[in-house]
Amino acid sequence: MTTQEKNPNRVELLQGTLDVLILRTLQHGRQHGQGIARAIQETSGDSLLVDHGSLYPALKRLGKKKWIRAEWGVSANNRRARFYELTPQGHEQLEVEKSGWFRLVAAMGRVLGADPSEAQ
Amino acid sequence: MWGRDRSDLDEREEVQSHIRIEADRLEAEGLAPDEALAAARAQFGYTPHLDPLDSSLRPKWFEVLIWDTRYALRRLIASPITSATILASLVIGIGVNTAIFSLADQALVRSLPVDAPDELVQLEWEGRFIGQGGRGAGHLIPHALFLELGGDQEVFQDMAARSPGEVTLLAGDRSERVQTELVTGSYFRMLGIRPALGRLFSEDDDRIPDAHPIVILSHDYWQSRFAGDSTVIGRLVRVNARPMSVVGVAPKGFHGTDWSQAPAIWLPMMMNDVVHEWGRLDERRIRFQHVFARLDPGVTPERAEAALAGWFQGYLRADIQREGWPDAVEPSDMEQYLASALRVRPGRQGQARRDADLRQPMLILSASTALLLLLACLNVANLSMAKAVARQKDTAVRTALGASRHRIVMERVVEAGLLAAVGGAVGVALAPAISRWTLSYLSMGSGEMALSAQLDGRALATALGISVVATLLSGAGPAWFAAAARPMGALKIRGGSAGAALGVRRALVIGQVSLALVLLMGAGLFGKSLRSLRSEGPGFSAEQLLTFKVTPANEGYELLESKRALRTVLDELQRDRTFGSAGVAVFPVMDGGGWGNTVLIEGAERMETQESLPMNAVSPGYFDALGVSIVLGRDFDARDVWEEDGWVVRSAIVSESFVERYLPNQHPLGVRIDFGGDPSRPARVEIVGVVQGYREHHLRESTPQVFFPIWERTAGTGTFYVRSASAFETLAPAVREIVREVDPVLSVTDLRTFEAQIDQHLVFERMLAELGRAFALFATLLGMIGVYAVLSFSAESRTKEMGLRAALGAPQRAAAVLILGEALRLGTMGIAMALPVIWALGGLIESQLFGVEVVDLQTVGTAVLILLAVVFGAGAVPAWRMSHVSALEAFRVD
Repeated sequence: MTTQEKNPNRVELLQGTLDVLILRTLQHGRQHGQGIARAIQETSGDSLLVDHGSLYPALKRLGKKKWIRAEWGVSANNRRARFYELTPQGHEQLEVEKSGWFRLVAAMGRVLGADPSEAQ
Repeated sequence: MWGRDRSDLDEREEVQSHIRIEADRLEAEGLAPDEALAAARAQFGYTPHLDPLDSSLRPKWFEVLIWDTRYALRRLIASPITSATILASLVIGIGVNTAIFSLADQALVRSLPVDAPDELVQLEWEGRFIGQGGRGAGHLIPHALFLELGGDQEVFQDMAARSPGEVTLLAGDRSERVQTELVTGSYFRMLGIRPALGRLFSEDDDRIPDAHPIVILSHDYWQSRFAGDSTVIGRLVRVNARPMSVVGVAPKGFHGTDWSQAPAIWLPMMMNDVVHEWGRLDERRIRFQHVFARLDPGVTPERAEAALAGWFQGYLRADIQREGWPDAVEPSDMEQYLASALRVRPGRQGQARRDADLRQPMLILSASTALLLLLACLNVANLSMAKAVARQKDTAVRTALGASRHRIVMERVVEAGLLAAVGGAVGVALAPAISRWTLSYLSMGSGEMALSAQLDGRALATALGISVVATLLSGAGPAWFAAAARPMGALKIRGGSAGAALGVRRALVIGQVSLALVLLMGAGLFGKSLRSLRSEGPGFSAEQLLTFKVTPANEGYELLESKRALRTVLDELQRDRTFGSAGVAVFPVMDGGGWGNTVLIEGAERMETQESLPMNAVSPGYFDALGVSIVLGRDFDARDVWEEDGWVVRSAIVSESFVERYLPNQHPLGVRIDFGGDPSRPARVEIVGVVQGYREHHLRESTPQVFFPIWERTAGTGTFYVRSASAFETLAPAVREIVREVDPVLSVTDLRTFEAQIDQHLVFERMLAELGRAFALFATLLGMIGVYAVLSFSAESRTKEMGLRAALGAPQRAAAVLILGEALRLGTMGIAMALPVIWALGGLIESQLFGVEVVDLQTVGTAVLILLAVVFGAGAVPAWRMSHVSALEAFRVD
C-alpha cells in the first residue's frame, strides 16, 4: 500500500534485492536511514525504492543476520539519527551477492539479448 | 518485555528523524516547510504502528472498543456451549447473591424507616420477673413500668409501647385474620411518622381504657384491601366484632417496629381488651409490651442505662410493697427479682430478636450463597482458561504477525467483560424473582414480612461489585495466558506450552469439587434435620390430623354460651362416624404464645417451680385425637364439667416429664398442685392422670406440661383436633356443615391439616432445606462441567501418548482407565480438602440442626458417593473418546 502513484518506471523490488542495495550503499561508509534511501534512489536513477519506510524491516533483518550494525549519532543537520555500517561478515556477504548478481545478469543478458539466428 | 518496548521507542524516533532529515533536504531544494514535511511523509509510506504522527489517522478509543466488542461477540457466538455455561454460572452467582444480599441487608442491617433511628432504644428486663409470666416474645415490659418511667425519667425525649396481636377484621362483607399492633398514643409521634391519609394516633386517642374505637390502616393493606380508596376515612369496620372507624392511613414503607410481623392495622393501646384476653392493662404481674424510647440528644444507651439503674431499683422495691404482690415469695426468688436490671438496647432496627430466631439462618443463607458464587466464579475461570488454551495458536499467529500484547489482552478482557455484563444484567433482572420466592417461604411463618423483593441502590451496587470481580476473575486467566504466550511453543504440533495451564485448571477443579461437597453436605444435613423435625417434632404423629378454630366470643357470644356451643360442636363431631377421635382445647398446639404459669406442688414437700410451665385446657378425647397416650390414671370425663359461668379448678393431668422432674419418687396421682405466685394458698387441684408429653409451644423444646379440663373454665375460643382417615377435601366441608348446624353465625377459622400448621413453624428449616438442595444441585452441576472440561482437555493433550500406546498394542481399556483414574484423583483430592473445612464450619450450623450431628456418617457417605458418581460420570465421555483413538489419528499433524 503506497501513498504515491505507481511510476511505471519503478521496478518492484524483491526482498533479497533490497538487502543487496543496502549493503552496497553502506560499502563505503556509515549512513543513516534517510541517507541510504536517498542514495539508492539517486544512484538507481530514481527507478528503485518505492517507499522509504520499507527500508526498515530490511535493516532489521540485516541487523539480525549480523551483516550490519547500528549506532545512534548526529546527522549533518544536527538531527539525532541511527547510523548503520557493515560488519566484516557484511562485507563478505556483499561480495558473494555481487558475484551472484553479475552471473545472473550475464546469463539473462545472454538469453534475452542473443539472436536466435546466432545460436550455433 | 522491557527490551521490546525500548526498541519500539527507538524505532519511532528513528522514523521521525528520517522523515525530518528528508524534509530538511526538500526544503533546501526549495519547498515550503509544510510541503516538505508532507512530501517527506508521503515518500516514507504508510506505517501507522511505527509513527503515529498523524493522530487523525489513529482510531479513537471507543472505536477500538466497538471493534473489540463486535469481535468478542462473534467469538462468543462461535463457541455457544462454553459461552452459555459461563453465562449461566454468572447469572446464578450474581442473581442469587444479589437477591439474598438484599434480603439480608434489610433484615440485619437496615434501620427502621423513621426519623433519626440511631436515637431509638428498646428496654429489656434482665433478670427474674415475678408474675404470671409473659405473653408474647422478646423484651417484654409491664405496662405499669412504662407509665411510671414516663413520668420520672430524664434521659429519653419520648417513649412508646407496642404489643402485637392477631384479630379478625370485618370490612364490607369480607372477614379475615390480620396482624395488628397495639400502640400507645406517643408511638407515631416518637417515630416521626406522618400520615398518608387522615391522621395518626395522639395521646388523646389513648387515655381511657376501651374508649377509643379507632383504627389506622397500613399503606399496603389500604392498597390491597381497600383499593387505595381515598374515602376510606370514617369507614366503619369490625375488629373482633367490635365496631371501629378508620381514622388514617400510615405512610408507604412503614411497617411498624417488627419487620417480621408487619401489621395491617394499628389500634390504641387502651383497646387492649379487644385484642388480648388477659385482663387489665396496668396489671403489674403480666408483661406483654415492647417499650421503645428516643434518647435525649447526646445521651448514649450506656449512660441512659446507668441513669435509670437507681430508678429501676426504686421501682422494684416499691413494687414489692404494692397491693397485688403475692403474699409469700421464696427468698431466693425475691433476691433474683431485686437483682434484675433494666437494659437499654439500641433500637434502630426495631424489635430486637434472639440470634437463633433470625440472624443465624440469615447468616447461613448468606454464607451458602457466597460459596455458590465462588463456585460459579471458579467455573467461569476454568472455562475461560480452556477457551484461551484452545485459541493459543490463533493468538500466537497474531502475535507473530505483529499484534501487540496489549491489544490481545484487551480483547480478552472485553470478552470477559461482555459476559459479565450480560450475566450481571440477567442476574439482576432475576434477583427480585428469587427474592420473592424466598420471601414467600419466610412469610408462611407468623405473619406478613415487611421485606421487599425490590432491589435498592445498595443491592444494585453489590451486583455491580460482584460483576466487576467476576470480570476480573474470568478475564484474568485468559489475559494472563495471552500475555505469556510464546508464539513458537504454541505453533508446535498439538500440546505445546499448555502444561502450566492444566495445572492451574486442575487446582480450580479440585476447589470446585470441594465446594460442591460442602454444599451437598449442607443440603443433606438440613434435609435430614427437617425430616426429623416433621416426624418427631411435635411429639405425636401429625398425620391425618385436622384442626380448626371456632371463636364464639368474636361473634357476640357470652362466655357461658360460648362454652356450651363449643361442647355441642364437639359432641356432634364425636357422634359423627366420618371422624375418628376428636377433642378441643382453648389454646392451639404450636401456634405461638399460649398459656403458662409457675406451679405450686404439694408433694413430699411444698415447692414451686422456678419456671413457667406450659398449660392448656382440654376436653375429654383431646389426647386421644392427638394420639398421645395416657400412661397413668384417667382422661378427663363427665365429672370434670362446671355448668355455671366462671372457673373452677379441681383436677389436672400432667405430662410424664412433669412427674420425672418434680415428683420423681412419688406416686403422682392424688398429689395436689395449684398456680404459683401465691404460696399462701392451699393447693386445690388434684392430679388425676399422667400423659406422655409432647411439645406444646416450640418444636425443639420439651418442658413439663399441665392440663386442665376445658369445661371447668371459661372458653371463648376453642381449637379442635380431629383424627380421621378420610381425605382433607371430604372432611373440611363436613366440619363446616356441623358447625353451621350448631349455629350459622359461627365461623370456622384456621381450618387445615396439622401438618400444614407445623410447616408454618418450620419456615426457616424448610427454606434452608429447599435452598440447600437447590444450591447443592447447582454446585454439583457446575462441578461436573468443570471436571468434564479439565478431563477432556487433559485427554486431548495426551492423544499422542494414547495413540502410541494403541499402536504398541495396549488394549482400548487402558486409555479409559487412565482418564477415569485422573477423575478419581481429582475427586478424592477435592473431597479430602473439603472434609476439614466442613468440620470447621460445623459449629456455624450446629444450632440449626435437629436430630442430626454435623458429622453424620450417613450424610457424609451419601454426599461423597454422589460426588464420586458425578466425577466419574463427567469423566466417562472423555474416557470413552480416548479409548477409541486410533494410532493414525493421534499422529495427525494439525
